[in-house]
Amino acid sequence: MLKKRLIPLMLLDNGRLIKTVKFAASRDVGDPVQSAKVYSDQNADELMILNVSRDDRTITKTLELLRELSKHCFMPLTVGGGIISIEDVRILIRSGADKVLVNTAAYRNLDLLKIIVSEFGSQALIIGIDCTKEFDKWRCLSNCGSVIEKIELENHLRQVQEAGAGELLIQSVDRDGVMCGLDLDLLRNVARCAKIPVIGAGGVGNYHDLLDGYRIKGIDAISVASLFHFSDSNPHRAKAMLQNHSLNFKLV
Amino acid sequence: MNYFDEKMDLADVVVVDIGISNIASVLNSLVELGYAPLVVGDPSGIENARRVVLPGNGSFRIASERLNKTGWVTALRQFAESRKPLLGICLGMHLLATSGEEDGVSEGLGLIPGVSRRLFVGDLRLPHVGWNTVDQLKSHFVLDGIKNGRDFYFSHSFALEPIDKNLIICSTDYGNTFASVVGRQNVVGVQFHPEKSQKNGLKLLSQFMKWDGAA
Repeated sequence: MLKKRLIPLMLLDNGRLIKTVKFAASRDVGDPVQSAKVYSDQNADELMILNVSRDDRTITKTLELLRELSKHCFMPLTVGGGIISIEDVRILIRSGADKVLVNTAAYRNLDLLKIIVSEFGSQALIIGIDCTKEFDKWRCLSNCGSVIEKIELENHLRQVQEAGAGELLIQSVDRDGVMCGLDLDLLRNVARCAKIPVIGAGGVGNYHDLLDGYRIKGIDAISVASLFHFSDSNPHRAKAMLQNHSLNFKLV
Repeated sequence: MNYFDEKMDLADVVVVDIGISNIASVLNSLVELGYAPLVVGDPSGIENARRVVLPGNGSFRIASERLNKTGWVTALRQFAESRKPLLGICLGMHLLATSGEEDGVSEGLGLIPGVSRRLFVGDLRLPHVGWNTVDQLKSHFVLDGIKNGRDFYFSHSFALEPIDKNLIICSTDYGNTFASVVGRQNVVGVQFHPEKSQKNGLKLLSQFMKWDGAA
């Protein structure tokens, strides 16, 4: 049986691990290599590393970190932030990334998505979509949440799936770092439109929030940052609680 | 460490690089286990290798074209005849088949008679991504020390269907049952990513490194 996944999310700014609130007000929360080692020791299901620095939109710093991380972490690594070309993808995948996450470029260059898929396969491409609620409707944001895109969420979902995306990371910007629960309506809506695996993110503040998310049909994975950064919580403890509610996680 | 400048006969294992996969993870896991891997992009001289890992992600058709164009097909077939251990991972496992049905039909290495086909999963989602149970149907040296029913990390939409079902060593369920480990003599293929499957994955790789290739 395919298991649910709980994925620690590491946001990077200038080589440091940070955590944002609603994509702003960032706090330094430590050294990414040390954190990754801890997640690795805790047998995390996967790790997601996103460069969210607004001054440095290149992959250079991420690449340095990836080379270091992949020596210690024998689990799936997803890397994103500032990917604009197939050359970026090639070097990241050769250097230890299993999947790349593309967000802003997915609004500008659908051909890039198709090229990534034809070279590395659908399973190597995750599309990140940052959403904010505006009068009962979700809007897509790009460039680390700073630009409102015109395209409707449903249309964007259709386009990236047609281009061959393998997974979706759906992040509620309104709930980022707020720890008040996932945007369940958003995730339900996306899971209904999507035929590929959906990872929910943004707002997890306790284990019950995770339970609510996993109970949505089509939500296979949830990504968590604040809960692990700012509490004594960790993937082990979260899964121990969730297993009591008949959710299945990997057997090590 | 530079994995590219060593001599073939000094290396414990050769990792085939046809430019389409995350070779860093395979290399790092072999180094973690204490071995000296060598990355080889040109098939000449591969007959001197002690053992070979064929990793891969992506399209069967593109990989098949690259293998054919660069002379890897002949080299890998000859290597397999030498009875030394050969491990295919994910797309590298699919390439062991006779042919693959992705973007039309293309030729594989023919080391495991069978076809690589899209998974039939009913209303489940593809790609099949995540940790799933590996049921050990038979014993095999590379599985020694790994408990039955453990989870490994999968990330794929296609799977190898061997003609001879006796070659299936492990199976996994996702909508339907598919072969997650196949083996024939000195050749073994794994659908999941051992290099990404933490403790149990590293154990499988360490068993492969100790295997003499005898079935």
